[in-house]
Amino acid sequence: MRNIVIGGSAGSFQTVTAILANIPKGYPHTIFLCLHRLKNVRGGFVEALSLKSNISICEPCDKDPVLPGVAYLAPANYHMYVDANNQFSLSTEEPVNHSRPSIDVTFCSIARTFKENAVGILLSGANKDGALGLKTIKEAGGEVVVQSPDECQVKTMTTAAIKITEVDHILFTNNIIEYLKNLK
Amino acid sequence: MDEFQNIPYEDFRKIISTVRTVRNLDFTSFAQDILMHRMSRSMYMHGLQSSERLISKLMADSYFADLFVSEMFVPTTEMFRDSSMWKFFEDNIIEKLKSETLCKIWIPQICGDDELYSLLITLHRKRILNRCVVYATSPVQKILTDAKSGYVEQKKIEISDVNFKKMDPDADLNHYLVHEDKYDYFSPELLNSVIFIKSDIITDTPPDNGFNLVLFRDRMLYMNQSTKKRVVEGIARTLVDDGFFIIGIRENLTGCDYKGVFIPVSKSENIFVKVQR
Repeated sequence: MRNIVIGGSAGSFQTVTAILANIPKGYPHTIFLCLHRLKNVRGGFVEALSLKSNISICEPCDKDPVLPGVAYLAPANYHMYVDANNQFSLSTEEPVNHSRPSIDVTFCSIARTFKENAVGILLSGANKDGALGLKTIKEAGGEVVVQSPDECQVKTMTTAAIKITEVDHILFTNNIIEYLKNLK
Repeated sequence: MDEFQNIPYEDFRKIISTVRTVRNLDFTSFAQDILMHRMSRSMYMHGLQSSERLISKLMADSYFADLFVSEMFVPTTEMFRDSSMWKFFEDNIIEKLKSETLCKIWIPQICGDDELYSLLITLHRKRILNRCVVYATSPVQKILTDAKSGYVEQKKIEISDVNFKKMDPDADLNHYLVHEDKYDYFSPELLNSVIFIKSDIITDTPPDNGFNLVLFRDRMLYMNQSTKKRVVEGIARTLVDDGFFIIGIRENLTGCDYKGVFIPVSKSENIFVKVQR
């Protein structure tokens, strides 16, 4: 089983929606979504993402267990970790890259916990959050994918990642979907 | 070097052991991943390139040891975080607390002053503060001293005032601040009802009992499951029947034996009331 972590910010919502709409029911892998979002708006995001999704999407509470085949969305105004016991750890630590949840925090935690079973995917975004985390996943033996900057509405995030990491794939949305569907 | 350095597990254990030696604090009950990040972040901020250098500095520099320990505790980072909770608290819970002649409140493991001053201001707005005794406890003296000083950064005022105005559009945080020598402080009168005590909820006995309210938001995030369970049991014992227990929005009482003792008053805001067993 693989543990897929997807990070995105400005311009990533459509891509995430397209990915979730095309992931088949009974998908064996776990998906973690760390998306920059408004800190004071607690509701609505899961519902919006769930509209076309074939798999269950939820925002975890602290110490909830991680289950396969579920997509977990980092809650507003919390950093999201996954610990060695396969449980969520949430935190109110200082924003990282002006972001909470921060993609770097979640990516680094997934890298430490799942090592070569981690897959990191970084999408469109307006700051460099996620670039360091993606590098950490790669260094821990995981596979890393970046959305093609040519397709990104805002390419700062993906460009920053490509600059510091030799990524495994640079893909357009349709190819990311195919990649995920074929992931063993 | 960055704030996400991977600290090898052996080094992590050595740092915990050193903190126990120099400050008599046991970090083994902390949520491990978050604690590792706190350590890595602190090493990055202080330019310490290795665990060995950190351990040496902890042993040799008493001031640094205090600073490091305080940095392991995670602040809330803003006042009136989850403004809908504070609105519900002001409109519903304080009304019930008003019937008490003397209202005893406990905020365990304070870290920073956000929750404390949010509470004090809310109690002041409802004219009940002078009938309250608020116990603010932390195992770290530096945290208590900082909270007592009332100093508040301009940046935090801006963030917190936005939250405050979400709770009440006419509210203004500046009404509760005094300006001295270019710095902002909370009005000292707010602290008249507060007792600061150096105490660790994990290892020490509670500062009192018969509490009408325990405000414990986003503190169990940093405890492992067994510690959380033990702490919740302890809190249940210190509360009066019909006393309120407030935890963080993304926390729950799953896995705690005392879960049945607490009935939700607001599920969305994670406010509970203790019922007689």
